[in-house]
Amino acid sequence: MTTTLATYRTPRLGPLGTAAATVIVAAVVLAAIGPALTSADPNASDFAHAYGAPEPGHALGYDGQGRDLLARLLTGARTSLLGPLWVVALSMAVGTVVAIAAAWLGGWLDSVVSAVLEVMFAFPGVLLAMLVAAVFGPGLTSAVLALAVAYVPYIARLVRSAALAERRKPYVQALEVQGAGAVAICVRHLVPNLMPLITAQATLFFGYAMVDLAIVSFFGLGVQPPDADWGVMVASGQSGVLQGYPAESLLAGGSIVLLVVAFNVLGERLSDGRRAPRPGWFPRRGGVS
Amino acid sequence: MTGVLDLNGLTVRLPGPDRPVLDDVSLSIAEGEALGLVGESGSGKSMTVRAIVRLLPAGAQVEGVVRVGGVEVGSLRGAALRELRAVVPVVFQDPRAHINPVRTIGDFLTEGLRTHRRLSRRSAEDRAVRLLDEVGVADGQRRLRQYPHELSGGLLQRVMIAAALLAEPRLLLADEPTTALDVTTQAEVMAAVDELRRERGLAMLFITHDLELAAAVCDRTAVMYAGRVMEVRASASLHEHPLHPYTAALAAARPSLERRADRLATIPGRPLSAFEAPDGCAFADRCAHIRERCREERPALRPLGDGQVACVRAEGLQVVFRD
Amino acid sequence: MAAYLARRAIMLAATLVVSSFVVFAGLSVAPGNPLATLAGGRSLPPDSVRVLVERYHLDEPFLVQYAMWLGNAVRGDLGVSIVLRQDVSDLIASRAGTTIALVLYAALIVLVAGVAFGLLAALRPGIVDSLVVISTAVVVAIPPFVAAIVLIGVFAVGLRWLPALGNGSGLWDGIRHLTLPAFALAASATASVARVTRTSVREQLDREHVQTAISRGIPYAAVVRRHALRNSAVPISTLAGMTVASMIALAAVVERAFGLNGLGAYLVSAVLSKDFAVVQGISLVLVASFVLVNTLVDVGAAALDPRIKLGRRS
Repeated sequence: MTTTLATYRTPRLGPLGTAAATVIVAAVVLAAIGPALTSADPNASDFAHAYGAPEPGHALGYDGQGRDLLARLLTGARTSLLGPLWVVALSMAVGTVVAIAAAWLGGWLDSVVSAVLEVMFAFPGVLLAMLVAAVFGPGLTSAVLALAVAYVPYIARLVRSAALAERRKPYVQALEVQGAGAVAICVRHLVPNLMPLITAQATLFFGYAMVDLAIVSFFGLGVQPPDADWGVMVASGQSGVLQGYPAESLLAGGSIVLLVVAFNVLGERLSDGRRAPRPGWFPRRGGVS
Repeated sequence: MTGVLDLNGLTVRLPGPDRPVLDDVSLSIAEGEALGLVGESGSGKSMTVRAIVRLLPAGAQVEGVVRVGGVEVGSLRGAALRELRAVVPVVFQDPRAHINPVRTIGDFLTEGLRTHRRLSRRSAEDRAVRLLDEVGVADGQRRLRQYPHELSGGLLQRVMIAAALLAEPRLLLADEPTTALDVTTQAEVMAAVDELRRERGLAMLFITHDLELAAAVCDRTAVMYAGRVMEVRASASLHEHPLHPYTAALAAARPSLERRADRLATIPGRPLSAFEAPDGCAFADRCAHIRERCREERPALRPLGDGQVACVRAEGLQVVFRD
Repeated sequence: MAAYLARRAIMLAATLVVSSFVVFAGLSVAPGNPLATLAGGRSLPPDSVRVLVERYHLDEPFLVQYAMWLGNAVRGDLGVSIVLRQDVSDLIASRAGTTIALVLYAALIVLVAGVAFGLLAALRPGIVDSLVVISTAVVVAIPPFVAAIVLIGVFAVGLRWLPALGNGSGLWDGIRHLTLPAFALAASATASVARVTRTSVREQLDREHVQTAISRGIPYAAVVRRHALRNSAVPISTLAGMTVASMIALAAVVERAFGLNGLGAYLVSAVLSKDFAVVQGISLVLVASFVLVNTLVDVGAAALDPRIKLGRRS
C-alpha cells in the first residue's frame, strides 16, 4: 500500500511560486480584515469629493461618486475572492465526482458522461452566464452557478483520464482483489492520489474564474452596484478614465491582474505539466500535454 | 598531397569539462577512398563528422585544421560554409529523426537542389526519382508525395542516401547509417551504399562501431578511443592482425561464427569519453598489456608496418596477437 | 479524410442541436410562464400576446415548440425583439459586421504579433528573450476589459491618437475606431501565442531534422521558415484558433467598453432589458460560431500535420 503514500510529494514552489503564494495570502488577509483598516464607508458617496485626490484618512482618494476608493477596493476584494472560490469549489466537486464515477463504472455511463461533456464544451462560460442572467435575472449567484457549470467539463475530462490511469495501477487492482468496496477505494485511495492534480487545477481555475466573474460584473450582470466588486469598479471607473481620472479602474483592474498572475504562477508550480485548457477557449485538444 | 579530406591535429573542446572530446585527431582520405572510423560510443566518431561540417554544439572550441578538397573549413563563413556543406552530405544514423516529419519525401530530396542549384521543382523531382530508383526505391513519383511516417526505416534511410547523392558529392560522411535499422535491412542498405560509392568513385568517411562492417566496406580503417586515434591501417590487415591492444580487444569481443567460444570475450572496464581519459595512454586502465610507461607518457600515432599505431608496445605485441 | 470529416460533421450537428435546445429551454425553466419571460415582465396588449403565442406556439407541447422554433431559426427567423419590435435576424445582421470585423482584426494581430514576438524570443536568446518572456507573462493575465481601460487611458485620453468610443463611419474611420478594441481583445491571446511560438520553435530548432537541414547548407532563414516554423504550425494555429473562438464570446467585453454596436454588446443590453428573443437569437448565433470555429481548428490541425491519423491522434 506504499504506492498510495509515495505519490505525495511536497511541490517545490521556488522564489516565483513563493512570491505568488505570498500575494494570494496577503490578498486573503486584506479581504478578511480589510474593512477594519479604514474608517470610511465604501458606499457613502459625497459628490463634493468626486475624483478627489488622496488625503489623510482616504489613502487612495475618491471615485466618481465621491466614495472612498480604499474602502471600496478592500470590500470589493471579498466578493472578488469569494465568487471564484464558489465557482472553483462547485466545479471541482461536481467535475471530480462525475469523472471518477464515469472512470470507475465505465460502460454506458462513461459514454453518456463523455457525450454530455462534449456538448457542454460548446458554451463559453461568459456566454452561459449571460444566458443564465437572462433566464434567472442578473446577480452574483447566477454568474457563479453558470461559470461553475461551464467549467465542469474541463475539470471532468482531465480528472477522468487521470482516474482511468490510476484505476489501472496494480495497487487499486490489489485492493479490489482483497474485496475492498468501490466507494471505499475511491474515497480512501483514488481521490487522495488525484488530490495534487485537483489542487493544481483548482489554483489555475481560480484565476480563470476571477477574470470571467469580473467580466460578468463588468457587464452589470454579476455583482450589482452599489456593492463593491473589482469588476464593477473597472466598469464604473470607465467614465473617470475618459475624463482623465483612471484611479478607480486601474486599481481594481490592477488588483485583478496581480492576483490572476499569482494564481497562474502558483498553479503552474503545483501542476506537473498536466493542465486543463483555459475554459471558453477550446474543447478537445490540449488536456494532458 | 592533399586528399579529399585532411584532418590535422583536430582537437575539439566542449564548454564544461577541461579535457577535449577530440584530441589531436589526424586522418586523411584520398580521392575515391573509403575510410572506416570505428570505436565505442563516446569515442568521438560522430564528433569528428560534426567537426568536418562545422555542426558542433554552441561554444565548442576547435583547434587544428580540417581541409575538404584542400579548402580549410575552419575559416569559412556564411555562403561559403553553406556551399561546402551542400557538397559534403551527411547520412545520419536515425533517418526517422533526421528527416522533417511534416514535409514530403519530395520536399526533403529536392530542398538542396532547389536551394543551391536553383533548379525548378520539376527538374529537381526528375533527378530525385532517378536517384531513388538507383538506391533501390521503386515507384519514385509516388514516394515523392508521401510523408516520412508512411515509409519503413530502411526505405527512409535509402531516401537519405539518395538525398546525399543528389548533391553529386566527392566525399560522403556516413554516421552509422545502418545502426538504427533491422538486421536484414542493414545488410541491404549497406550493400546499396557500397555499390553506389564504388560506381561513382566517391570518397567516404564511414562511422561505425562494427569493426567487421568497416573491414567489409572500407579500404582503410581507423580505430578511435576516448577522442584519440589508436590505429589506422588497411582494413584487411587491421582486422586480421591488429597492432593496438584496443583493436585486438575490439576484434576479439565480436563473437565469431567460425570459432565457438565458451563465453563471449569482453573488454574489462567501461569505455571512456575523452574528457575522462588519464594522462598517459587513454586505454591504459583497460589494457591487458600495460607497462609503467603507458601511464607516464602519451603514445603518439607513429608509422608501423602498412599503417600507424599509437602504442609503445606495438612491435612486441604484434606476435602475441598473431595467435 | 472523408470519414474523418463526416464524423466531425455529425459531431458538429449533434452539438448544435443540443446547444440550441439548451438556449431554447431557458424559456421554460425561467421562473414564471414563458409568456411573461418573452415579454420581459412588460404588460402587453392582447394583440401582442396573441402574436407571441402564435409565433412561439405556446399552446403546443414543449417539444413541438422547440421543433417549430428550431425550424424557424434554421430558415433565418429568430423571432421579434419585444423592445425594438423588429425581426431579431435583421437586428443581428445589422450588428454582426462589427463583431466579425473586430474578431478578424484581433485575430490578425494575434497571429502576426504573436508569431513575430515568439520568433524573436526563440531566435534571440538573452536579453530580448527575457524581455518577451517577462512581458508576455504579465500581458497574458490581462483580461480584455482591463486592457481596454488601459488602452483608452493611454492612446485615446492621454496621447489622443485614436478615438475611444463608437463605430465611426466609412472604412478608414471604421478601422481607426476598431483599432484600440482589437488590440484590447488581442492582448492576452497575443501573449499566449507568442509563448507557444517561442517554446515550439526552440524545441524544433533542437531537433535532428533541423540539424540535417543545416548540414545540407540551407540558409538559416530558410531553415527557420521551412522547418522550425512550419513544424510549429500545428500548436501555433491550434492555439490561435482557440483564442479566436474565445473572442467570439469575449468580443462583448470590448464592444461594451468601447461603445461599439456589435452582437456581444447587443446581447448584454438585451439581457439587461429582458429582451428574451434577442438573447436567444444572439446566443444561438454565438454558440454556433464558437463550435464551428473550434471544429475548423481541429480539422485544420489534422490537415497541417500529416502524422495525425485521421480519426485518432498520435
